[in-house]
Amino acid sequence: MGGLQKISFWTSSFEHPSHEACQAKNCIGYAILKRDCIPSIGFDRWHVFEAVFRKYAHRHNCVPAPIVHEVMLSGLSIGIPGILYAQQNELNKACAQVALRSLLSRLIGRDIAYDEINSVAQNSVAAQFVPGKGLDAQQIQAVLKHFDVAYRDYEYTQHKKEYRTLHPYQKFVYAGVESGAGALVGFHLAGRAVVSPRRHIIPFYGHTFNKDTWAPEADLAYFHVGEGFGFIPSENWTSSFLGHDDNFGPNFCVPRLYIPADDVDYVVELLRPGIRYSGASAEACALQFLDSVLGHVPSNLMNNNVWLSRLAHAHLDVHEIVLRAVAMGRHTYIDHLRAIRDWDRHRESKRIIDILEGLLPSTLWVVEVSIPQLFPGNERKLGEIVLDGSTKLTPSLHSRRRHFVLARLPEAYYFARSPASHEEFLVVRSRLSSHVPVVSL
Amino acid sequence: MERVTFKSPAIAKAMEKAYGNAAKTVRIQMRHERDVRNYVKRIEDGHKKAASSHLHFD
Repeated sequence: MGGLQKISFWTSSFEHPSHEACQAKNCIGYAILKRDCIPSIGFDRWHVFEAVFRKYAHRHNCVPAPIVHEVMLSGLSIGIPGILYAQQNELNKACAQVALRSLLSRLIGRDIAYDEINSVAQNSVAAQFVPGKGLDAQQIQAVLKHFDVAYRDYEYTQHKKEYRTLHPYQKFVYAGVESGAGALVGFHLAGRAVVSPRRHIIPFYGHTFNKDTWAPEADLAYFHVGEGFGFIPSENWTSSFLGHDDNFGPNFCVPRLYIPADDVDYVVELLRPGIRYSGASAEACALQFLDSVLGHVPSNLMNNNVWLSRLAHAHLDVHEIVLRAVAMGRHTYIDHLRAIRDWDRHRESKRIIDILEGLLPSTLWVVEVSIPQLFPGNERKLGEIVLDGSTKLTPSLHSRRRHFVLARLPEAYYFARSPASHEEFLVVRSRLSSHVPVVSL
Repeated sequence: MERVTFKSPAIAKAMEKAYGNAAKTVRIQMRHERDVRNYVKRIEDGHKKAASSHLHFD
């Protein structure tokens, strides 16, 4: 007595699949609707089993590392760019399971059955598990581990209230989203319609990029790593995160500050394959290296390069450095170095790139460095701090030093010389003497 | 404990071989050590503590 319907949506109508209108570029998306019917308990309800829709084609909307879903429609294989959306049915899946399916199907390259998610969840708890009643945090963690997806999570109710400001959930979400992995945000529901305490969790996979945002120009946007030590995070130019809510539908823009910090109890930053620590940690480490290097740039470089002196002024004098952390494989970084040209159309030296290509770690945190006058309006940067992303990071200086790979600033690279000497860096000239485009995954 | 292979010195060595005297050495002292250590520690400690979370999402 159940039912299954597949519906596809097109920009123009056609009678037959052979019509010229029946092409991938004209397909907006599809949905599979499923009817769950259990007469013994009077359950009879349709829900969206899965759907993939192109996101709203706004130039501000950004989905890093997008993927294409292949689906059979009218006998043709059609590729639709988008993130899989699914709705809960309160029988074998609730918000947590559908959120996991949305993000993991993109990250691991294949769709995931709810049976598999629920089997892992069942095995991770001693008590009776009711799939339709959702998952707890430890079950979510077990599912991520089962699929070999690394993550960093934070439960705010376990810490002092000030941690919501010291480590805002938006920072973890942005790091996961910007690296193409995604993030989960768990919050408690509030409002007049809420009868008993409940928590909801939703997936995020993209963000907007709003060049004319006001906040970063004001002091409000400065993020403190320590007293008088911080930076302007690039997420300040993100007005909204893109995500699904299984209660309401796919591809919503959720304003970055809409869910109050006090309402968010749990956040999970998913990490790209091969990455072993949070983008938030990478930013802090990169800031320390940048701060230290900028104080020791050879005077002949500083005096003769206007962009280097602007960068030093931005950080050391007025504290207006913009940082953007992006996780990537080494080949992505190498391809980026090969492709970029500075303002005078200089390319990087092939010899430098060839050396790096042979010796870089397999996965990297590339923390891009820019200033407010360059980053939002032009999407350009002045350099990057590259960290080894492939091994765990501990708080010790020793660990952070060993994760440092290089700093690239206008006209120069900095490399740590040896494990024994903590303070010696080798400086090699770069042909890139001014700003270059930021990385786009 | 997981061993981290320190890649930067190997790259520095290769660069020095390629560029000889054109590559210079500078001494750089790391600053803000306590702030960064505490910041990273809070994130890693938070992740470890979240393993015992009892939050439920439906």
